[in-house]
Amino acid sequence: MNVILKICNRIALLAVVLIMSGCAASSTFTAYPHQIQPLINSLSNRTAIDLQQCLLGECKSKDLILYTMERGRYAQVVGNSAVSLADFTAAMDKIRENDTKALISASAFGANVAATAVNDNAIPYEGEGYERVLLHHYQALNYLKKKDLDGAGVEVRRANAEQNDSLKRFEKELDGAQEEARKKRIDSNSGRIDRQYAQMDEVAGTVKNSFQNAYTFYVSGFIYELLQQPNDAYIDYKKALEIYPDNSYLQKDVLRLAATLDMREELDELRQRFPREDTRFVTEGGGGNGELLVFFEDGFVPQKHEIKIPLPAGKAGLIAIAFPIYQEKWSPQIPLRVLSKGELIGSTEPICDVRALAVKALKEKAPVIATRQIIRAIAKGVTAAEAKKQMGDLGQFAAIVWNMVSENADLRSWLTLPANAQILRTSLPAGRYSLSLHHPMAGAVTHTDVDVPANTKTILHVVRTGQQMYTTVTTF
Amino acid sequence: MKIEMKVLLTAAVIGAFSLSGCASTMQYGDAGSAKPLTTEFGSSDLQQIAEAMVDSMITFPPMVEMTASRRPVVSVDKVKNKTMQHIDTESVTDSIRTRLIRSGKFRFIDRTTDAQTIEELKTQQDSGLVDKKTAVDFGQQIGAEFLLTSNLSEIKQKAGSTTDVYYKFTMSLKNLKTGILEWSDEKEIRKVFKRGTFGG
Repeated sequence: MNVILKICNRIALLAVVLIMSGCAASSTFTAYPHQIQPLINSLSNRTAIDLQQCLLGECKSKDLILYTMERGRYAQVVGNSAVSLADFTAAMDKIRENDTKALISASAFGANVAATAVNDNAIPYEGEGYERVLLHHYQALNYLKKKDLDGAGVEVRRANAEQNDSLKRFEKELDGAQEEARKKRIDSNSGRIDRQYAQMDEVAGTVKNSFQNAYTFYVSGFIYELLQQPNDAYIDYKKALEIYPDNSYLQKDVLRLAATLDMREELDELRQRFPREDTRFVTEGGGGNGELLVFFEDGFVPQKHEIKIPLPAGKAGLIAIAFPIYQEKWSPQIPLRVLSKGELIGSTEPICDVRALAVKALKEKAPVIATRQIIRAIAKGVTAAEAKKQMGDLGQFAAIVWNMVSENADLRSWLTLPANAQILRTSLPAGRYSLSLHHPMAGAVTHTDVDVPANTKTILHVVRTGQQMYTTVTTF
Repeated sequence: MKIEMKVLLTAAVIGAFSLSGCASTMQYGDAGSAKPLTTEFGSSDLQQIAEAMVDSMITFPPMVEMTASRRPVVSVDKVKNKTMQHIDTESVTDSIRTRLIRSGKFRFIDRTTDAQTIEELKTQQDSGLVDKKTAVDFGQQIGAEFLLTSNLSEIKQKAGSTTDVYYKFTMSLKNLKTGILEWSDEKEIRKVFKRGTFGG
């Protein structure tokens, strides 16, 4: 009898495994980072990918927002602005559609039921706050490359609105999760989970919240300067300076605009806060000089990993709950050195740590994830107990196997984003420069020719992916 | 009996189709239809703005006086888009300009086709194809007396499930010789969107 039972168990297990494999194409059962690895490898090794064939099915799936953001970013880095623009637009359209959908919609309800029965990956991806901000930010860069200043202006205004909305949305979400936990009498602040998350504090502690992003404020300020709206530019530079007070380029820009706009009181205050030896900022950009701006985006944002925490669930025995977590070692940001004819023009300075934004976003979401996890664990435990009642030991075993296999952490996040962003801004005598870009993590020194005409602003956008450097130059 | 059944079945099928509501529909709509579909800047907003601006300008007493005996030449500047939407602002100015021309009170210079104009004049002058007597010389166009400038801005507020969007379109007519603003007006549009509680 026992032998027969064992054989039956094996068959049941096999059946469960076979059923699973049929769904492998979606992120519900395959860890998301594996699906994006080909794009990351292609960027790091400079091997071509056919964008016409890339992620075609995924970009129509429930996670459309995520996949179109990934493909759009990939296309932008390799210099295909048209594809990037179209993909980002598709992602924004879907986000807007979600945001205007009825609060209790049939489709969202279905996804939530699936999430309770299977795992969080069944919920359509909606984009984290910092990702939505960066989506508009990168779209603004696409418009800048097209020299469409009006379009870029629209996108930075959207990015700023998103920074405001994210804060409100996050507060509401948190309230909702706590409310639900209270209703179901669940303590979401489970000690085991908090301990696991504590190790991420080191990097998350460097940012106030997950959406305030100085890089986006800076690009926004710069675009306002190009649009001849110095007052708006001044406000955004000041917001960026609040987040990164040590960035000397930001200090200079704020001082320069305070002087241009004749804000005497503020100028005095700023001079006291940031005493600078050179007072050239007032005259900078004048005469036969042109400005060079370097936007340096370094590396890749870290990927989430899964940890399983065993949780006793009454009669059903142990139930595993799977949590997403960042486990990377945090390395400091390394500046890019820009040289011309062996002479240092300047080094970039940090303006945004995307890693910290990602980690902070996960930490902020932890209570919501925990609540859903525990509700699910209990639901699955009930299923297992019910299965035993209906089908005996075999049924319970199959249910437990299903619970273990189906319990996957939600590892989805925008992975082709950089780990951090840095800026450099300087005024140079007009002319053609043969610049060499030095970074210890890059395979070799990258050379790029940049024209800096008088009374213009030239943007050098540098993206480092592994040992490769991608550069684009746009002049205004 | 059999025939009755068939009739019943057909009726049921037709009924099912008409009830399903899945059939796509297509119909002509009114360009100025007042029913807004979203808070985004749409065709009826464009029509409202063009109408309001033109009415205001041609009924402004000093304008009526000035255009009583002559048709001043005006140049239109691009609308400065300060909203959070990618709007085809050229289409807004096109609508306004077209209405002003149709009013018979103003004449316009179109700077957007200058490149083609230069090309054509070069051909007339240099290609040897055109009779010199009828060829148009460079430097004969009339300089605009007025410049029409405009601004479109947006303030968006969200509270709970309600989104309140406020658009303001400002237009001014500047005398290029004196620098004086001869006329100015603004049109405000406010749209309120309330997110439904239940839906698909």
